[in-house]
Amino acid sequence: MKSKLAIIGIFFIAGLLFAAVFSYFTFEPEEAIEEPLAEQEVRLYFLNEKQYHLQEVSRVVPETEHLSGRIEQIVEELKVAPEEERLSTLLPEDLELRSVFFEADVIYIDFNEALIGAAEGSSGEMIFLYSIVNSLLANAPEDYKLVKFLVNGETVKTIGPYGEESGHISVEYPLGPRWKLVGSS
Amino acid sequence: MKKFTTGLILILFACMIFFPQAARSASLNLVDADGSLLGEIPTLRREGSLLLDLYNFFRALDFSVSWNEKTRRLEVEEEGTTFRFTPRSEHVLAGDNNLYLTGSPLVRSGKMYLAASTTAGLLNRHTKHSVIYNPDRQQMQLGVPREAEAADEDPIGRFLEDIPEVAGDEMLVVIDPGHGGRDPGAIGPGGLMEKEVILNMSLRLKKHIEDNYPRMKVILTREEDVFIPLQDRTRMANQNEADVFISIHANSGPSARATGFEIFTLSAEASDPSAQERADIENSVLRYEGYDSEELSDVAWILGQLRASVHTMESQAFSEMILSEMEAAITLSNRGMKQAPFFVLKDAMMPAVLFEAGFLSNPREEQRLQSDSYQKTVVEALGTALDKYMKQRFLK
Repeated sequence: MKSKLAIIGIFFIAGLLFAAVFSYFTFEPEEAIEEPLAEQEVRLYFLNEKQYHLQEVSRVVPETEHLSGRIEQIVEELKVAPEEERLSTLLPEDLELRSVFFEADVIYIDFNEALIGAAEGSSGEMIFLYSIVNSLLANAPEDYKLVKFLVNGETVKTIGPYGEESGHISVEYPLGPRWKLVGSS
Repeated sequence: MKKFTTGLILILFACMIFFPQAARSASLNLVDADGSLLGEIPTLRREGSLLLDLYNFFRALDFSVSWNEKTRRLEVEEEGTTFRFTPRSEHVLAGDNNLYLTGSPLVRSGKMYLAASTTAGLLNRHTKHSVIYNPDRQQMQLGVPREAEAADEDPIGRFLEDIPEVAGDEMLVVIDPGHGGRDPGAIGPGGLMEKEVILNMSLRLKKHIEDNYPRMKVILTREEDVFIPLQDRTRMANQNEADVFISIHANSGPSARATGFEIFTLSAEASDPSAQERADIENSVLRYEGYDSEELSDVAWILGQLRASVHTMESQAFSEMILSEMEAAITLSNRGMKQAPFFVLKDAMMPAVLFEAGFLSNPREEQRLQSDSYQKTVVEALGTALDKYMKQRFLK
């Protein structure tokens, strides 16, 4: 009888130990089992190297509370090249968005100095600038129609690397979207 | 005896009347703001223009002046900026910049002369000095505030008078070789620099036009490897009332696969997101021409708008002609015409396009761009397109 009780006791203790170890490895903090963050789909424009136009890519990202957060998110997403081989990112890794603000129908995006020289040539600058402009305006409320580039808080004439007037496209004024640069495949 | 005396008196009388006139044609009075004489500058008259002796003129203004025998240039320096004048050349080097004069200096008896009106324009635009040149009094007055010069004039009247007439049997083409000096533009994988290949192509185009199309006159914004600010390029075209402006470039892109020729015009929509911005752009052009935005009435503003929209249409028509000629002449792919707010085009007061002759970032096209036969074909196609445009627009 005693031995039976001892065996039951051993199984009982072993069961407790097993349960403790199992629960230790399978325990999840309370936060993680709360409701997952709401997600949203954003439309991003990347370079199609073969066709040399912009191509739309949809990506699901966590929802943000404010528009400025969504814009920061889009800029970061634009740095991540899509899996599709012929699509590539146009944004240099060291390009940092310093701040975002809004005035009337214009989204102001203030980058660090890596914006200067980030693209060259008429076509290169065009496809680079409008990949950002199109991506921001495609995901912002319709009230916003234009995007204004700043470098360290200042207006620059162009993004040319050899001085403000060595580039091609004027960024002195806000830019509207260029949907004609977008191809299907 | 009586007749002799009368004749002598008449001769003396005539001398009294004409002597001051004779004296005036020999020199220009340089005076300061209150009218006191700073110097009498020797002059020459050529084809109705008064030319002044640059050496003595700038000495009287306390500039440092010297003749550089090695470069054959007159060097005039003030506060760190050196202006270099070359005989018979409309280009003046000012530091890193290349300025364009409306006339070239002339050398006579070892002295360099330049039209007084051109010299006054150079001082007003590119130095701290403001001067008023009065050709009737043969006088240059210093230090008068620029507003006072135009205070009593009718700004709209001046604006209307300044619109170039679209007529005649000649067309003035301004060819703008992109980049230059400290700005090499795109650099190909083989090391070919855009500023060099494009200058070469532009010089060939100028010669091709001069040899084959006598009704076209050509101005190049640069003839050597110098940096010229983008706004100065269209300023040259505006000052000379050019009929068409063509900026020539070699393209570059993030992918080495990108290929083809392409043409760009200024987009009204992109550079014109709002009426206020358009007004700013138009007014900035007019400010350069000597008008204050406060002076501009709605009428002048609307005229500016109309002119801009006509130029947009003309630019597109000209672009189509270039694309069509290029497509017929070369096998490179036609990337078509696109619009964007190109900085070099935005101040042009005439039809203006930016032509990309191929991708330097593409190794095969880099080789093509520097080949003699490709350059020749591109130059001839551009010449044909310009000729067709001239015939369609001016010689109906």
